[in-house]
Amino acid sequence: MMQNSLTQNSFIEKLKRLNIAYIVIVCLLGAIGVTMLYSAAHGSWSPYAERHLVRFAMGLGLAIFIAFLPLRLVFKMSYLVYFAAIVMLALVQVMGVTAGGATRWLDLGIRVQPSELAKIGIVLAAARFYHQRQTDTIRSFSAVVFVAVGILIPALLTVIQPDLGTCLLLMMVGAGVMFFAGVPWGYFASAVVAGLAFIPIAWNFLLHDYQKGRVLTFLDPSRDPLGAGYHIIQSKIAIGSAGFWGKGFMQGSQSQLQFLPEKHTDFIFTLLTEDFGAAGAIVVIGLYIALILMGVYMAMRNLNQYCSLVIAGVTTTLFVYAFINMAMVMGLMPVVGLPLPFLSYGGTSLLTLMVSLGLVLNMDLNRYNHLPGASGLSSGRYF
Amino acid sequence: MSTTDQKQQLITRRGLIFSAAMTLPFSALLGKLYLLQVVEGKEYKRLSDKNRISLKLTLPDRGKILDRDGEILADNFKAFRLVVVPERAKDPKDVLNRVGQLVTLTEDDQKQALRKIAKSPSFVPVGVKDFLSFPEVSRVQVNLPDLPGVDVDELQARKYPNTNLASHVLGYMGPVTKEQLQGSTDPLLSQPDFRIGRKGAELHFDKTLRGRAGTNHVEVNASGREVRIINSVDPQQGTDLHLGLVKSVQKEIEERLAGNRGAVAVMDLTDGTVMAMASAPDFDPNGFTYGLDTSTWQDLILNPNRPLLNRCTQGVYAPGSTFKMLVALACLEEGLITPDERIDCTGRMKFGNRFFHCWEEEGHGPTNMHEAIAKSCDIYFYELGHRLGVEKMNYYAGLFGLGKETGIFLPESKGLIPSEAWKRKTYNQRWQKGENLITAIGQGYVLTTPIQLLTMTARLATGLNVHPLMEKQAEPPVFDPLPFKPENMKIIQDAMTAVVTKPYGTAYGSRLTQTAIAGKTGTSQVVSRRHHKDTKLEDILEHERTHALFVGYAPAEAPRFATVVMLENAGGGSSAAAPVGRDALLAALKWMRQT
Repeated sequence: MMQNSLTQNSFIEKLKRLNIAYIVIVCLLGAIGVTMLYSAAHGSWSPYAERHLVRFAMGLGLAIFIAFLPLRLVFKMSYLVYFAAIVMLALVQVMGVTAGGATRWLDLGIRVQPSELAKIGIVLAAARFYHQRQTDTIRSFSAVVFVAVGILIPALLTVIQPDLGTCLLLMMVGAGVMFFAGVPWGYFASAVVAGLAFIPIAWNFLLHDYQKGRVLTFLDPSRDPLGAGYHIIQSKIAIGSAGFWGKGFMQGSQSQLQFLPEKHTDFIFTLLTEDFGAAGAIVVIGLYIALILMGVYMAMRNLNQYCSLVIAGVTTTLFVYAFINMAMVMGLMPVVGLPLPFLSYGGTSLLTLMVSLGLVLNMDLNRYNHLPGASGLSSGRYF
Repeated sequence: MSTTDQKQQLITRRGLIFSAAMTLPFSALLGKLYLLQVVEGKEYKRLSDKNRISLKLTLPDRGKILDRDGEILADNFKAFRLVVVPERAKDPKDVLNRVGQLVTLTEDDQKQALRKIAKSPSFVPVGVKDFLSFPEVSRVQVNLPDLPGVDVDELQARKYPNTNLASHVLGYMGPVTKEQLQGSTDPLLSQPDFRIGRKGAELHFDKTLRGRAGTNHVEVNASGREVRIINSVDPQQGTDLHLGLVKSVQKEIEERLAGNRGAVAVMDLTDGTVMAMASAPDFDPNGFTYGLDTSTWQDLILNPNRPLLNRCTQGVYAPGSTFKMLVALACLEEGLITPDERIDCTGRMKFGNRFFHCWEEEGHGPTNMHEAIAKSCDIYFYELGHRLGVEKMNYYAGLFGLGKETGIFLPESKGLIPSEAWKRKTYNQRWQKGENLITAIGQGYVLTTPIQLLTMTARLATGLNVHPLMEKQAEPPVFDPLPFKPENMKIIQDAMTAVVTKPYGTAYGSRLTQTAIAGKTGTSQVVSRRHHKDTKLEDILEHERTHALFVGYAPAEAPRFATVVMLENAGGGSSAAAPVGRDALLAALKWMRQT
């Protein structure tokens, strides 16, 4: 291949190719997050806003660092990350730390949440798998089952923690990568049918009482106006009463009067809408749409399937996070406890997002670089 | 077409489909936003804007704390509080001035209220003065039309009717801390001015005492008047807590302790419940609920006698001679001595190149086990310590519950029972043989809490693996027997009886005529310097004076109550602590006869 500036890997050339617009949008979301966390603490930098700002800045630094890692290194590490996540998820079952009724953490000097690593591991591993196969292999039944099992193993290890929200996220992100890789439509249709058939079984045997409660409360919030329904009712009142321009910064009466629970984490969108109204909500929704469309565009313009699929996987993650969170606080979906990307307070999910952001930027920087692909492997073999 | 091209085509196609499909969920979001704000917006506005307090929580009554016989130890009372809603007050400074003419308001109160008004959102009521008197309430009520934004709120407050009684066990209430707020989903905690248990039983049993909030869906109009109640759910009242304490006994021992630094506890041996636990000096928990003034707080915190410390469970002291029973029992169990073997006490013995002294400088002469315990001969126990060694002493002390938490809900210190491994780890030194000697008389590194000594005494008295319990027991728990030979236990118990009932016993002065007490005195050294036994207590610096200890139980022949007494820097166990122990047991016996 001819050497030109597009494939040169000098730092300066890479810097020129860095997708600045994408970073700016992420920073805008982060800034909105800091502003709302300032409001959540009734006009105080502590405890949320200043820490979110610091974490965001450090996370962004990490993302830029990851962006400039050699592509081949990331490619090589793909399976390693995936298997590390599996091993750690298994270890959680053996020696995990329990808090609030769920065993989700490992104590390795600091507390880590392996299901976060799994989010990245699934995307990387699936992308690499498809990158090294022929297209007809990708479509074969056995390959589809193989990848599906690879996604289901960490998903199952997550759901028994129990963490239904993250489990669903893992499955949807995995499905997203499969979709972009070109797995035929029929498989997705069958999966949806199988999933629907599975609901009665899950309801009767697998769901925990609190999860059932959330679904029932979603269907009828007045069933439990003090417990789970309290969140939804208060959130809807806050959003519904805000008007187009909102009640003004830090003037949201529902939030400031403490009617709104978890306003700094899962319900930050409610806080935003109460203070800044539909206008603020539309701006944030617009920013997410822009992120997702830019992600799809970056996936399309990349010359390597691996890179495209990693970008697509992260984009799916962002979409699922943002959509489920906003749908949840508006009462479109049951409360599942997923944060709003870049806005919600919380170090772990922000770290994962920033690593994902770094991966997207990395893939995009290397969009013209050739990665050895399926040519070396004969068709039909995938083990 | 190459594989790469095929794949890129696929991604492009799927990407376009994905982007197109995205319109659906995002339209749903925007549609729902439209629904909430435009279609149902009026209803939600009414629920929120006009009726700002749409979902009002009704506070549950906090559970009472009662003693074993149902006497009230902690209760609630309704008080009235003056609040100002800033947005309705227009000119808060002027309103506060006018309020000041009806209610005593210090300049500090006014300043603080103005600061709070400036900081909080305009529709949040700001507390100006808690605990209004009835004349104040009526004066304010009459003048309400001239006081825009002013309201009188009902306030629930904790009351401890016996003031300082059992303050270390009950604990106190205070504002919700940040950690408590983050660790809980209970909406009550985020209520302004909600108070939560911060220490002792109030903290440990907070969840059950607290109850659950009720809800009142009320419509309140723009001027703050309740228009109607849409629906309401009654609060679930807090559950009362029944402690094993007995108020009369607690009161008596607290009075007996007054003026000292020390701890006394009494246990009911039928079920292991602690019926009295006093630590002096103590404090009045009433003051904490709505904030102490700075000087009271400073007094509590800076007081060198540390009134907030529960000496029963957190104070660690060398057990002194009260440690000797388990050393004697261990030697019997291990076959290292017979009860009749006599060891000659000449007042001092040489070990290595050091002299070890008995408290009785003239010596006790040839002494057997019974006499050694009754007279508290140190030389006898130096010899036993030498035979037994620290590892065995550590093992037997563990069987009696020393050197570890007893597991009651109050904060506890672990204390320390040394071992060879411990010394190597801590000082990087070998265990010295001479240290066996001083360990055997409960000095040296040995540290115990009074509640541990009480547990030890209960186990010596009953031969059962008794655990102290703080809550009233519906059914007496079953305690396992300890793995000791009954005849050996009897030798120790008889010797403890002789301590109080025989003229040669060290606590003979504290005997009772009707009931036989069994016990053991202890005098634990604080500094290594020994004072001549004729030196008057007043001539020794207070902090160099010995701690006085007594453990005991009664009646000696059928143990029902056990006690521990620890008086800091109070002198000798027999002169200072034993009379207090006697009175504690007497109070318990009196209570038994009354019920």
